[in-house]
Amino acid sequence: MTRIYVCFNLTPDGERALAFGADLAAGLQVPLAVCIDADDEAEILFHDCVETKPHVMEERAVQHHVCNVLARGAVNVRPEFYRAQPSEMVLEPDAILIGACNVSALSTASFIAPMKESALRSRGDGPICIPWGKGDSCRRVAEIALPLAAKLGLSVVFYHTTWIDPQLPADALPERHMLQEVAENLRMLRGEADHLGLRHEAVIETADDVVEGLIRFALRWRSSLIAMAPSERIGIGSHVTQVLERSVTPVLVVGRSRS
Amino acid sequence: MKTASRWGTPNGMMAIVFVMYLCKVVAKLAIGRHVHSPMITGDGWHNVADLIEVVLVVAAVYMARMAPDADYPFGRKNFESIVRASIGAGLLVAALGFAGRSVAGLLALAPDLDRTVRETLPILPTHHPLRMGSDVAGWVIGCTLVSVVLSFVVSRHEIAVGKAHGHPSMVADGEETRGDGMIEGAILIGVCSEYLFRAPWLEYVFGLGIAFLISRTGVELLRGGWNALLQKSLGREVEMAMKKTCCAMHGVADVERITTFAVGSLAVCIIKILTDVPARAQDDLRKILKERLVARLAELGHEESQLHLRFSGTSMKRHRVAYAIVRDGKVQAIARSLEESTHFFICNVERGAVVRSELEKPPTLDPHGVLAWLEKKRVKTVYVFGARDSERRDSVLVMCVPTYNVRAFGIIDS
Repeated sequence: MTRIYVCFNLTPDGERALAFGADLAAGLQVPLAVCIDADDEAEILFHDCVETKPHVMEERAVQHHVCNVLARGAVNVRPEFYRAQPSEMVLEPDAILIGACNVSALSTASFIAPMKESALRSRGDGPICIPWGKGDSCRRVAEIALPLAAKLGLSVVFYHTTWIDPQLPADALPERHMLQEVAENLRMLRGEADHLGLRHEAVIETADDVVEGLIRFALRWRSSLIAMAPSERIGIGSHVTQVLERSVTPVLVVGRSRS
Repeated sequence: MKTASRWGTPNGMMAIVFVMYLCKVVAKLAIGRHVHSPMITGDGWHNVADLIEVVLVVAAVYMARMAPDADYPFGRKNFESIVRASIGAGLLVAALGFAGRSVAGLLALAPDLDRTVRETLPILPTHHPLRMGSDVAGWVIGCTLVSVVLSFVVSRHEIAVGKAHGHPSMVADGEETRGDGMIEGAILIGVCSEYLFRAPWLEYVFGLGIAFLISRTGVELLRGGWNALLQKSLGREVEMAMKKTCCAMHGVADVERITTFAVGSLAVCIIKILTDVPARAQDDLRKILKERLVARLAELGHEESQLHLRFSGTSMKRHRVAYAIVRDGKVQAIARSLEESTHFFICNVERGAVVRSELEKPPTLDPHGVLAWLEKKRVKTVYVFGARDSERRDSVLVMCVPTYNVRAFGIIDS
């Protein structure tokens, strides 16, 4: 993890994102990058500013405001300020942006939708929930979410819900309904988690609906975060989009593949 | 195998308990009266209450199966509370009787004192000397010894069957039977000591102790039944634990009110939760919160519970603010002062977020006129760009914001 990015704005969601980002950056011991949305056009309205340019005054005021907020929250983090929108910046592939973003316009960077929480562990040290399936999106999630869990000292719970195989007996365990590729992905995830020395568990269900099953599972397990990645093969009905619309648990959406 | 499984059912187990108590009542009342022992007679009456409680447990198991309906929205579990309170009151009266007979027995050791006390307290029962001897020793010791053994063996099985079949009232009855075993153990020690030391007065000292233990059971039963009938809260500890469980859940902003009470052995919790999550997410919250709260209540000793969760939004805190705007054509920014402003965004705020904004041009650019105009529009606070301290001008608070970019406040579409 290189940096946590936050867009500066003064809406309630923006203020929560700043608090969430600062707390996460402090936990990961990485800088907090605060992006100031530049409105250069508007500068002409302050034509009487001779000594100090309006954007310089604005930067100073924002820095002062952010430092005050961090001091009030007693968060030990080093803020960096950038005069640009994150979408205009070339973000590091393992950077995380705080605040809900448009999934379809997602770059290689990832984002966390805080879901009205002001810190990742505001409700306790619950595990990071990583849903997995047969696709390779869980590999991208593992690349970001497992090191994140390791650095924050959180455990991980892998979750899969599968369609029922009608050829199996009614009382067959959910594992038996699982596809071969799904089982292989679980082995990969377990291997990665073991490599990082993480405590992990895997739960397989046969929920009626994937999104409902995942959201309720995350709540039941007191998860701090749901980590998932959009599949590049999905036309409509993306699980990521549905989870973002419905979840109350913060959601990490991992960026698109670098390749 | 068939026989074992039949006695392993709740009904079979309660039949065993019933027969045990019936035998104890007959034996203890007969022997106790024959030897004039307040200790054994008292314990016999205590077992009468236990016998009624067995019937109550069977009735409670039956009642528990009756689903709540329009006439009884919480079911009929308070039937158990009524009987428990009655048994408790009965035990207290019985305990008073044993204590009186024991005191009469002790007073009989000092005839002068006995006479004086009886002049003041004529209701003190007549003392019948304790019968001791080899003809009754075997019956007395045998009866109490068998009672102790039966109580411990039966209580162990009753608790196991109650837990296996999910009947908390049966588990509670099993625990009470174990408590009875301890009382009977104390009686056995008393009886043996009487014969060992040839000291009949020990009977009355132990009798007072037994009266105390029985009255304690009576008070507990009476209090439990009384609390349930008057719908007393389950207590601050339970309510705090409920609140903590709710607040540990994502999406819960706060708990506005918790009402708890018992209907028989059923714990009822009515909780009003403040949340701003959308309606669909509330279904997920409700389902998982219920699971968690039921589990937490079970940890706190309330195996049976009924939860009523109500969701409500957090306070709207509606008010109106304004953003001073300097505007030239389509270019606009937050103005540095009221004097510089050409327009104002008049904004309705709910829960800290702007929900409606309208760009308006004040009728005059004179600051006093602008303030009067803002006041008329019920604006409490006006924001300007800068880093100065806030100041009150007339009835309007002028506050500085650190950016002039209008997009940073959620008052226009970004």
